[in-house]
Amino acid sequence: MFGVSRRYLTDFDWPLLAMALLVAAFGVLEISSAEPFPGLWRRQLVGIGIGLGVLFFVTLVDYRRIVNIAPYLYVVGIVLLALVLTPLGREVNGNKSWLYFGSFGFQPSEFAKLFTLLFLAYFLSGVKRYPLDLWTTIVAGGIWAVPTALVFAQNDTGSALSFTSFLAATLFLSGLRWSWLAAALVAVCIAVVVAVPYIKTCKSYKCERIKAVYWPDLAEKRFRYQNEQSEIAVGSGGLLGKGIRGSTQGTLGFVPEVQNDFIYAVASEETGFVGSFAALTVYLLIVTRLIQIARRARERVGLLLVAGFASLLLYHVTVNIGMVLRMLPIMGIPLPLMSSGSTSVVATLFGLGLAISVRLRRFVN
Amino acid sequence: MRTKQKDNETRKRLLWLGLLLVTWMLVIIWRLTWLQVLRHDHYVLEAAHNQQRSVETLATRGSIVDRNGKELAVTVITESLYADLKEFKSEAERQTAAQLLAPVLGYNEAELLKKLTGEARFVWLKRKLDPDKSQAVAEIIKTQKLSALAVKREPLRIYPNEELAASLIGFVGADEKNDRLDDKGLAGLEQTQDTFLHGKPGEIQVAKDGKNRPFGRSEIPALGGAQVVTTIDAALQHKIEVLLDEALHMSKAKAASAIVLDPHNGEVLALANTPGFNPNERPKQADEEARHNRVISWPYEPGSIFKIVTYAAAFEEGKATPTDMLNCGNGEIAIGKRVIHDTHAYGTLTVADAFAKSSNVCAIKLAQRLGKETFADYISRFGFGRKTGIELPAESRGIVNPLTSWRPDSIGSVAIGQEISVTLLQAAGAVATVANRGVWVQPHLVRQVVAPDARVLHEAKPATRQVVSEKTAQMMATVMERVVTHGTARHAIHLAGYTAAGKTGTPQKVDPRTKAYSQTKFMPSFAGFVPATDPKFVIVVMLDEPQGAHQGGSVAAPLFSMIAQIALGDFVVQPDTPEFRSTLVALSKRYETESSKEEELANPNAGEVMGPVAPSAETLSAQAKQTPAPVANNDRLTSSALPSANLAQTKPAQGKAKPAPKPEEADSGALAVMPDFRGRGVRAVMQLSAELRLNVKLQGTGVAVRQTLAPGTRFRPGAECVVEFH
Repeated sequence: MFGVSRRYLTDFDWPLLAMALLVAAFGVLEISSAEPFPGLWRRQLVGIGIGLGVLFFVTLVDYRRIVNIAPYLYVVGIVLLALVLTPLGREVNGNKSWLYFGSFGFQPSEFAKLFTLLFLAYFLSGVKRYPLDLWTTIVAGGIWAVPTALVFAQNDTGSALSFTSFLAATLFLSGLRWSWLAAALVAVCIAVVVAVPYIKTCKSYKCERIKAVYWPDLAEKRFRYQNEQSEIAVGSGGLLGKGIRGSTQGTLGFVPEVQNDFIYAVASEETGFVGSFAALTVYLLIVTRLIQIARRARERVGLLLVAGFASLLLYHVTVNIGMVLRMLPIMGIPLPLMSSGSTSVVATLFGLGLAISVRLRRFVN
Repeated sequence: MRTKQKDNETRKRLLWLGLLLVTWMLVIIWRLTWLQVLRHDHYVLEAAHNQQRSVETLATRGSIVDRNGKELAVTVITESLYADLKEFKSEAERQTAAQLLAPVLGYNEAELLKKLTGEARFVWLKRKLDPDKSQAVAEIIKTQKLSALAVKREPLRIYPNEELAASLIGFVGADEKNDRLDDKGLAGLEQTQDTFLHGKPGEIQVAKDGKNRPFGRSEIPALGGAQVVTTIDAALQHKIEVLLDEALHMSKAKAASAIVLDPHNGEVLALANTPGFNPNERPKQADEEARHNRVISWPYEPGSIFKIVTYAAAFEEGKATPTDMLNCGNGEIAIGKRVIHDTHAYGTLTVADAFAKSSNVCAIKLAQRLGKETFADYISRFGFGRKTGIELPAESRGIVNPLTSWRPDSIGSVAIGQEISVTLLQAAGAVATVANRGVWVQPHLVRQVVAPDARVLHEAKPATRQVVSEKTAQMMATVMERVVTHGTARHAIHLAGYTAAGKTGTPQKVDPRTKAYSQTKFMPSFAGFVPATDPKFVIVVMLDEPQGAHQGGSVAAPLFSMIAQIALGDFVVQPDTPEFRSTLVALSKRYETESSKEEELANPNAGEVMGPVAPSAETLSAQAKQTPAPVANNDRLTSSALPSANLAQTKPAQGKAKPAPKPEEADSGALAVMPDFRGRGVRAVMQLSAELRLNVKLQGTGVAVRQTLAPGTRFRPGAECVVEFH
């Protein structure tokens, strides 16, 4: 089953991998430029190496085998998330989302996302009814709710909300009624309208972060700082940027967490509009490619899986860039493949591996 | 639903995901364009601003000096102590600091501890420490390692002469805007010359990273402020202030003011107001009265002094000459509904005597001859009712009622200095006009402003205005001299060797309650100039409500006399009374014959230089421009020589001389040197000629422009010389 056939090599989605590696390389370059401590970019390379290993392993294995063990993976994910809340978990930057085994640490939530997605695809692909009935929807919501609640408990709002992205995508594709969708959207709008006055007066750090973007005058200065500095970084980059290693906002330490969630700020500062636009375009092409793979998937489960992953990736990219550009409040969402952090890179490449695997097996044997 | 259909539906729905993707991307691209393309410049500045922290460095405020370079206001750098309360490591440290510093800073311990408690990052503990105290504080900080305390260098404005000239120098205060101490002029010259005196603060630019660690540095050096050179003579100012203080004490007056003006160039040599204040104590609003510069911002009814304007206008308009006879109506005149009296009833007087005796009736009659339009015109031309433009804040323009609001009797009131308010400075300006051949020169206090690099930023360029003709000015000088010799000030002015001219005034104050002229409150004043023949100083003196004697002639004129004596001595002015001069001439001629004989033996040309005594030191100095003058050994002596200097200069000759040569010898054989008359008035020329026994013929009036015997030529007594005036 591991035999690498000629067909594997010709049908492998090399363009998708190339685009992913291009973005990853850009990330490594920018990490080395910002470099809050020396050698970080090497660790990132190691992460990418591991991720590639996982990717190739997944493409060699038939994705259906992985889908078949999805319930178990889901349970493993839940257990890991729960472990984070025990004394084994560790808090980094206010988010208690890290699990350490000795000196090796990772963020279970990154994998839990994919495991949950796998389980949802597994579950929804088995449903025969179209449009979805209420019961199925409730079960899917339950599958979503457990890990989401656990991640919320870790104080990682951004990651918790990311679960919603693929839940919505898979439910929608599985035949959610338009009326229900409309009702959900209206509910969200009402919730926002109701929440706004509360947020304006509320003093918790989450509210402050929201105010820092939409009502900066109401926000405390210290909460505005990161938004402002990031905005300055991007804006001062201009059309062509300050050149690689030319960053002042990033390298002089004005933008906090520049190697992680704010890597796009340094990239924009150094490569300007041209570079930011190029990176954005590659992400766009990756997601487009994923949607294409989903459309051509041989089975429903493959379609749901890849489409779910595409929406997860889209969520990450838009939310991360949105917060760097001060359009969305700051929440801990890394930019896939570019942000420093092995767990995120490995998880993203794992997801891409699944997609490539689906594509490889799009024709009936 | 069949699977096939269902799959198609699903695949269609996938497109919605694509649409979502495209929408989001468009939003992001718009945002990128906005930030990176449209608002790029703004963020570039912000990024640069992020890295820069600039520290201002001190620029010392320029000094104010008198005409001889004596410092009137200087800035020194002191240290100020402040605390960063978050830097205190323990409560014990606070207590140690309070305990040790309280005695040095002059606080009690609890008070200081209270100041040191809190979270503030910056608290001033004591600003502008004395130098010895700042040393003690530095010692404590060092030995106790009090990292929360630090000193900042700050400027302190010092007025080394304390009260001297305070009302015109003014004082400074802190600039609220930038918390810069002592660099904002709040009064006097400090206020009006603020832009010159300001230094340009330097800046140290420190480049820093996000954690405030510096990594680069550049400095723009501070540029000190410019020096303001005033026209004031500090020594004269001081003597006048002492004199006024004394007068205030003796007369129990409320206040006294005096101003000394050079009539030819408008320079204010002294301007004193007592009681004064000490600008080192930074007066608050409460002392408004003491800070008041009465000379320029306190208009008052000038009274009889104003008759100068009335008479000058009448002379200029040809309505009278000093020798005309005038009926003083036995001291009574009815005008409108009012009857105005003289203090003494006079019958018929010459115009000169009417002025000298300050007859109200005659002044009113002259004003009536002028008519109110012409009269008002002269009032304005003499500078009343408008600011002189002197470099001081809050100058008053006085109160001159417009013609339209004059009542029928107003012309009579104004003629004798009522129903009109003027400042002492305006009065001084009018008197200076008479002293300066009818030309008004704008009074000013700033000679020049010199930048630290010696560039001259500002040079006084006083405005001038011909108000009356030279002839009129001459006539006014004559009648004003008569005030001193025969008039209201005849017993008051005693100047050894000098003539004086002026006018007394004894205006009654208006009682604020009854709105009528008070019978007990006066403001005796005297305005005049010395020497009368060749005016060097215009002096105006005024006392506010003296007790007892209150006549201008008996109270203010003696003060004028004393100030004049001081000024004439300080500036070494040549005496001008005929008696003094003839004594002097006779005396020096005795030496001159002898010395010229001896010198001629040694050097035939010497006579020209050493020769018959210099007719006046001024002519000598005029000659000095052509030939090296022996007297030119001291700046002051060259510009305005002293008779004693002449005598001293001839002393070496005296040593060798045979005692007392016969006077006839001296008179007959001596050759005199022709003086340079050009630029002098008729009187001065006549007086000088008389002394030199020069037979002078005068042509025209005004200032001498031509003389038939060239300056420097030698002539025998009795030689004829025609002098043309223009």
